[in-house]
Amino acid sequence: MAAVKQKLLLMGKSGAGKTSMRSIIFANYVPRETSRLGATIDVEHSNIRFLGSLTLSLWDCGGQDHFIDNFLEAEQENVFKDVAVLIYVFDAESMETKDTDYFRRVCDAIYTNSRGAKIFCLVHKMDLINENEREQFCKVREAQLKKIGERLDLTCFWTSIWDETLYKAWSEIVRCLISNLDTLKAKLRALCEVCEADEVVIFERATFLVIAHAVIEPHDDIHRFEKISNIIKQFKLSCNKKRAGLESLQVQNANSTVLILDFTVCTSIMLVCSDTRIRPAAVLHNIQLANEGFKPLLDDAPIAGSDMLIEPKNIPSSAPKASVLR
Amino acid sequence: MREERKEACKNMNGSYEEQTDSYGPYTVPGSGSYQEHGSERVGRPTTESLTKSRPQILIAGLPGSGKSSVQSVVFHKISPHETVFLAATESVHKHEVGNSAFVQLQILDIPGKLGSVEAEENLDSVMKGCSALIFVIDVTSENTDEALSRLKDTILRAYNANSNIFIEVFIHKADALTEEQRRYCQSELQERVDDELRESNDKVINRISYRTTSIFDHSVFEAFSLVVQRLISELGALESMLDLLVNRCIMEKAFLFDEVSKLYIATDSTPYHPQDFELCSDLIEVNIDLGGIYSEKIAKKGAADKDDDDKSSKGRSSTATIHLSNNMILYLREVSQYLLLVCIMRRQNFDGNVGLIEYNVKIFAEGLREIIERRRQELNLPSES
Amino acid sequence: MAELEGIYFAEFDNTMGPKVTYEAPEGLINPEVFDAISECIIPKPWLFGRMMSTYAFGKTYLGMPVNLEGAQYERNRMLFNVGVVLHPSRRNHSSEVAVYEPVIRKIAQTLEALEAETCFLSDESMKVKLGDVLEKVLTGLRKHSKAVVPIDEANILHLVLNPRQTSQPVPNVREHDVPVPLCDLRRHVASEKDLVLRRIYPCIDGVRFIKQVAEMADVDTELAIECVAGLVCLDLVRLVDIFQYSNIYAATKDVRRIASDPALRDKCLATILDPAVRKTMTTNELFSLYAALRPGLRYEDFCLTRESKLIGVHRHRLITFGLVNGLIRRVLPYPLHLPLPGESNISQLIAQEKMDAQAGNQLKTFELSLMDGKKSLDELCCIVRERGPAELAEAIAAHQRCILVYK
Repeated sequence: MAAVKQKLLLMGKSGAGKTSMRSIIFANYVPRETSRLGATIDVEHSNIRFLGSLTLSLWDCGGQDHFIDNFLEAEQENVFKDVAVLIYVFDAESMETKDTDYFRRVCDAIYTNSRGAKIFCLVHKMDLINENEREQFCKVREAQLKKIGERLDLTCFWTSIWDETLYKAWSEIVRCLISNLDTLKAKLRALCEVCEADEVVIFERATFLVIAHAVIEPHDDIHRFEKISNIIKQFKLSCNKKRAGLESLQVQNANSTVLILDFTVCTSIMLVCSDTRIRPAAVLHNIQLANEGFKPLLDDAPIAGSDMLIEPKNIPSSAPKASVLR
Repeated sequence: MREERKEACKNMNGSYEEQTDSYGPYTVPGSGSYQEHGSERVGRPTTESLTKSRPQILIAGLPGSGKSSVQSVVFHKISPHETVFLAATESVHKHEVGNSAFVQLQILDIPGKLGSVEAEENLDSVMKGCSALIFVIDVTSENTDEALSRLKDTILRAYNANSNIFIEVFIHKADALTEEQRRYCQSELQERVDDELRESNDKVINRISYRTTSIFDHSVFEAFSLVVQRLISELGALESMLDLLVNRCIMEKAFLFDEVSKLYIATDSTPYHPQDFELCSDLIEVNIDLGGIYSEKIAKKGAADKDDDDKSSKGRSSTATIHLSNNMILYLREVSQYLLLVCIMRRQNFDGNVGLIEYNVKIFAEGLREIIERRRQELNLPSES
Repeated sequence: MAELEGIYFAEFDNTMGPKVTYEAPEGLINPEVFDAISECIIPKPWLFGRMMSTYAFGKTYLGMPVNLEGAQYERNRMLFNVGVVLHPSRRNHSSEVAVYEPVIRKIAQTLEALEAETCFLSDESMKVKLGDVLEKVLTGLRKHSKAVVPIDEANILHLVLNPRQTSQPVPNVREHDVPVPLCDLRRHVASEKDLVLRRIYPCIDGVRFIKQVAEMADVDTELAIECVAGLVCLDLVRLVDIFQYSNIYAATKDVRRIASDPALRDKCLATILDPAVRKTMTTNELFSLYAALRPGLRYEDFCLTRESKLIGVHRHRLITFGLVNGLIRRVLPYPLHLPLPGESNISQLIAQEKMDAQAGNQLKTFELSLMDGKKSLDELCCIVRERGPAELAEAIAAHQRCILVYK
C-alpha cells in the first residue's frame, strides 16, 4: 500500500463554521481569530500531509445556496466521487428544514457516488445552546440526522470552537482514515507496559489530533485526550509568538508526572506515570529507543503486509527504574 | 515592620552567600553589590499604611465599559468570549479574593449607572477605605466626553476621600487597536485628564497610572498585576530576592505568580518583555490544566495536604519544565501555597545544574515563607502550616 | 467597436451566494449562463480588484470584481462586480473590449467611494437606485457614447466611451516630465469641466516641466500630475524629458519619415523655424540634421559644429518635435559601479567610502549601491534628491570604479 490520498468533503450551510474549524485544526488559528475569516467561495482545496502515509485532500465547500445547488447538480460527480469522509456541519443555533433538506440531498449524492464513505455530522456552535437543554437537544437532533442518513455509516458530534469537543470530533475523523491503527495500538500498549506508565498517547504533531492511545490505569475523564490536544495546541501557539517551538514538556505534581515530547517526525507522544519513583530520564530513554520501532508505522508509507508484530528488541525489557538520572 | 523585612532579606543573602562559596563558578562578576542594592530597595519608605484587613480595590466606570468583565476574567476565570453574557451590574458587588498570601483583596464592583443620593454618599465612605481605584474607560465607545467627565469626578472624589489612594485608569477594549494606536490613545487621554485636573488639583496627577487593556489578551492580567503590586508593601524585598536568584542561577527572567489569578506578584529587575509574561502565564495554565486532569486526589497542594496518607508524594510540590526549540527553558515551581516561581533560562545554564537550581529555589522558598508568615500575622490570616 | 448588450451589477449574497442583483436590460444574463460563469463574476478573493473578461456563449463579459473588507460587513467582506456584456463584431475582440475598461473601472470606483462615504451599497434603500442608474448608463452609452447620470445630490457619474482611450495602464507621470501638447488644447478644454485642467492647460508649452506648470497655474503638483496623466491617456499630450544641451539624442529608424512624409516635414518646419528669420530649409537639410544625431554626441557639441546650419532654427523645438514624433530618442546614461572583488558587502563598502572621502571622492555608499546599471542617471537623481544630474555625473566620472553606460 503506497501513500494514500483521502478525499474529505467539508459541507454545510453558509456561516455554519466550516472554514473556522478547518483553520483552527489545520492552520493554527486561535478561535477568536476566526471571526476575521471571509466567506468561502466555491470550493477551497487543501492538501494536508497527515502522518507519512496519509494525505488529506480537504474540500472546503462554500455553503451558499448557489454553490450547494451547483455541487448537487452540475458538479455532482466531480464533487461526490471517491469521497472517503463527508463532514457535514450544522449550526446548532439555527437548524432549519432547509438545512436538513440539503443534508438529505447530499446524503443521496454520497450514496450514489461513494457508497462506502463515512459521514460525520458536526452540530457546531454548541456553546450557544443553553447548558440545561443540551442533552435533550442532542438526543432529538441525533435521531433526526441518523434517520436521514440511515443507509450510510453516520456519526454525530457536538462541537464548539471554544472547547475540546472540536478536537474530539476531528481526532475521530482522521483516525478512521489510518489503516494500521491496530498494529499501532498494540505497539503502544507494549511501550506503555515497559515504561510502567498509566497511559501513552500519540498525537499528530502539527494538529495535535489524537492518533492512538494505550491506557493501563483507567481514568474517569473520557475526554481528557481531546482536552490535552486543545491545551497543548494553544500553548504551542503562544510559543510560536515568541518564535520558538515546543520540544518537550514535563509537568510533575504530587500524584503524577506528565511528559509530552516530540516523537517521530510527524508525531508527538505523551506519557503519564503515577508512580512517582519513576525517573523522567529513564522514561525518555525508553521513548528514544522505541522511536525506531514506531517510525515505519507513523512516518513512512507502510508496505503491504507489513502488519508485523512488535519487535521486542527495540524496547528494553528490563525495568527502567534502575536508570540513573543523567 | 520594615526592620523585620530587612532581616528576612539578609537571611536570604546569608544563605546565598554560603552557597556561593561552595559553588564558586556561579558567582556572577559584580554581583557583590546586590547587598547594597537590596537593602536600598527594602529601605524604601512605604507610602501607604496597609489597613489591617484585606485591601480594597474599587472598580468604576460608565455602564458597559467592561468593569465586571475585567474582574470576572481575572478572578473568576470566565473565558473572555463568555463575558458578553454578563448582566449589567445593578448594585455594589463585593468580591472577596483570597488566593495566595499576596493576593488577598476585596474587589468592589459598582454599577456604572449613577444611583440614588444615599448610594452616592455611601460611595464616599467606601472610597475612604479603598487602597486603589480602577477606572475603566471603553476605548471603542463614542461618548468619550461623558467618560472623561466621569473619570475626572471620580478621581477627585476618591482623592478627596482618601489622599493615599492609588488611581489606575484602564483604557479598555484596546484589542481593536494596533500597538501604535494604543500608545497614542494613552498619551492623548493622559494629556487631557492632566490638563483638566491641573486646574482643580494637581497633586492627584502623580497618583494616576494609565494602562491599555483588553480581556482578549494578556494586557488585563498585566495591568492588574501592576495594580496588585502597588498594594504589596513587601514588593521591594521580593524583587531583591528574585534578583539574587536570577543572578546566582544565571536566569534570563523570573516571575513570582499567584497561581489562581495568574497575576504576577513580583519580577526581577532585568528588562521586562510582555511576551515573557505571556509565555509564563500560558505555562501556568498548562500546568493547572494538566494537573487538573491527572490528579484524582483533588488539589491538595504543597504543605496543605497534611492528612495525605501517601507519605512519599508529600512535599513533592508541582514543577514543570519546558524545552523550547530556541534553546530556552521554562522552569516552573510551586514555592508556597498558590505561589509559583516561573523562570526563563538558557539551556546551557540549565542542563547539568538542575540540582543547584532546585537548591537555590528551595532557599528562595524559605525566605519567601518568612515574609509570608509575617504578612499573615499582619493581615490576620490563618497560618499556612 | 463591440456592441454593448447591457450592464449588470452582481454581488455575493451571504446565504444565496453569487447573484445578479441589477441588470439593464432585464434578462441580460440568463440563469443558466450565470451558473456556468459565476466563478468568473464573483471569483476567488485573490482575483478581486482586477479587470476580468470572460468569453462564453458568444459573448464577452467584462467586469471589475471589487472586494471591500471591513468588520462592519457580515462576513468581513463585501464582494460585488459591475460589468458589461458585449457582443463582439469581430473574432479578434480584445482591443475593442478594452474600450469599455475605463468606463467600468470608473463605475466600480465610484460605487466603492459611495459605499465608503454613504454606505450606498450596504443600505438597501439606496442600493435600489442602482437599477435605474444602470439603465441610464446603458442608454447614454449606446446613443451618445457617453452618459451623465446623477446618483444622489452630491454625485454625478460622468462616463465617456472614447475609442482612442484604451485601457493602457495610467502612465507613470513624474513631476519633472515635460508635457508636449499634440494639438490645440484649447479646443479640447472648451467643453471640459475639470477645474485643474482649465488652469493648467495654458501653461503647457512643451518646455515647462510639470512642477513648473503646476507652480505657474498655482495648483497642487499631485493634481497636475493626475491631470496630465489623463491627457496622456487621451493622447492629447506626450511626455518628454527635460531638455538639456548636455543630453545625448540619437536618430531612430523612423527618421526617414522626414523624407517620406511631406505632411510631417511641413509640420516640422512650421514648428522649428523661427518665422522672424524667414529661413527656409530643404528636406535634405532637415533630414541630415536629424540623422546626424547619434549616440556619443552631446547636443551641445552637435550645435557647436553646426552653428551655421542652425541659424533661424529653434534648437529646443528641433529636439522636442523629434522626440514627440519618434524621429529621435534620448540616449540615457546609466551609472554602473564595478566593485573590486570582495567589495560586495556593505561593511567593506563603508570602509571604502571612508577611504574615498579622504581621497576627495564624493560618491556615497548609498549612491554606489544604487548604481547597478539598471537605473538611469535621472532616476538616480530622483532617488537621491541631493544633487542634480550634472553634479552626479561629475562625481561618477571622478570615481575610479564607476562608469556611465549610454544606451
